[in-house]
Amino acid sequence: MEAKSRVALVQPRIPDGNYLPNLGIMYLAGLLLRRGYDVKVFDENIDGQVAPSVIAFNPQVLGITCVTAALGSACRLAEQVKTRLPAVNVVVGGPHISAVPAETLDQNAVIDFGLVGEAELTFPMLCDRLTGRDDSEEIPNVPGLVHRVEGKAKLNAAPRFLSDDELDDVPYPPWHLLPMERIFKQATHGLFTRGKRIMPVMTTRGCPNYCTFCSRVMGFNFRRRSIDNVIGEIQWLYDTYSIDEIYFEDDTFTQDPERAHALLDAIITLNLGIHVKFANGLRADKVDEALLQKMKSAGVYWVGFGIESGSPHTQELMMKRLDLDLAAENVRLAKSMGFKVGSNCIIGYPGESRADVKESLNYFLRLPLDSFAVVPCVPFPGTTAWMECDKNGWLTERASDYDNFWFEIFKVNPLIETPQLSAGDLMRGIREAYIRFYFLNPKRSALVARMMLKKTWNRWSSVKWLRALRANSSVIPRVEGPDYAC
Amino acid sequence: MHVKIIEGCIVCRQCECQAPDVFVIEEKAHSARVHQPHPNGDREADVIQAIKGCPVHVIKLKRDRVPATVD
Repeated sequence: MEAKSRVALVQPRIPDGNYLPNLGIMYLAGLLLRRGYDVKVFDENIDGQVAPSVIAFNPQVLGITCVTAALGSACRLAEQVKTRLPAVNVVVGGPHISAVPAETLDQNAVIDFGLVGEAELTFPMLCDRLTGRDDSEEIPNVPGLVHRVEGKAKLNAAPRFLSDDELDDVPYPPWHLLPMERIFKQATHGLFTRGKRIMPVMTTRGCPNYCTFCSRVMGFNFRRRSIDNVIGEIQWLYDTYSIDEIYFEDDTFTQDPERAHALLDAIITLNLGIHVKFANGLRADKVDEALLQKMKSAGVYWVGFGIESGSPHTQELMMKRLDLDLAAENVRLAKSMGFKVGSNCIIGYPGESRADVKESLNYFLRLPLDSFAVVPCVPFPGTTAWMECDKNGWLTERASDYDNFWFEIFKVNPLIETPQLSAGDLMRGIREAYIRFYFLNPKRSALVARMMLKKTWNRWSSVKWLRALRANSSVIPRVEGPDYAC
Repeated sequence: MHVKIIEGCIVCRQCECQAPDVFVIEEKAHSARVHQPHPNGDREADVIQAIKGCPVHVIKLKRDRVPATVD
């Protein structure tokens, strides 16, 4: 019998300390399993050093997903694997290479190919050609492929995005390829969580808004999985992994209120008694009392609003264009309905003045929020914000190292310094906001203390797991594949 | 049909998302660029979608003149 082609998929270490299993590589793993590949998924955030395991697996294709801050880890891993397996094809996908494909390939010789945009159509196509399963087509013709021609990076026209029907056809993520019990313990889901076995689900892709700090990897066209398909996945996760909370990773869950109502109705009818949370902020002008009421009935306990700035001028700079009065009204409404309510604020946006920062922070400090994060603007490559900073020479020295491109909540080292706003101004603004929001409010101080204790406990319990792993590798239970419904 | 981009692009990537075979982002130039200035007629709907979606109105489209026919 002919041996199966082997593909290893890896999520490299992300330095921000927040860990979530990566849905992108899991969707690709599902598609490759369906095509008969031998697939293994590795996660440096869970497994630590994965290079020895990847080398032992001896894949023909090594697929690495990476956000900007993980580019360094991705290249280090690729180098380790390539030293031992020089024939392996290293393919990088994800947000960073989608934003700056040519630069990434030109500056990192260890990467053989990159894929921009959604790779559900293109990665299996590339794997078929790299492993010799399909020799009818040339490798460089794959849409969205960045490859080298005479030593220089060349980018093919981007692939189209998946349609609604194609989204339904993507298999549910084959979670049995990952150590789920450890993921339940180590994944982070913000300040407030109720469940202990939390799984991510993505029900829509894309976002039609123009926020200039976002690299919108999944495009402008808002695409929806069918309600039946989503409900099928939730039921499957409940039956297979006994989940007690769903973490919706949609970019903007309430973008289509009618569809949000329909999905929440279906969750209520399903009646599994599980909690529901949203990973990303909801647009505060896209909710109303009826929708919030439905969320409550569906098991939502925390609502995070992506307000980003309380200054109308900064809102305009960001092209977020939120009605701040309506946003404040909806925050108060959600709070009055018994939700825990959070929001976040970006400060130091290119073009923002000290007066804007003051106005913004005062806006948030007047809201009845339970949690609040103030982060300095991270000018992700490929975004309008990054372009502005690069053009005007506003990037600090720290911005020359992509390892620093992540949101630091308590330790502030800005990547941008503008004539209107110095790094010192930013640090003072953030410190003052946290002191006023958390430490001058006993309830919120207690909350932070609880969170710290919980984090310490989680870290301690993961050390226990690592020790157990070293002592006896069979200690970690893995859910095996027969139940996997492609 | 002739498509061009004038100065002022903010690299929001909307055009690339709508018509990836027509528009491409030029990383170093900080701008979108027309990859295919004369796309086929069947791409017109996507190009128009990109023009409508452009927040800074920098995408310009000139339709080919249809020569008058003499019966």
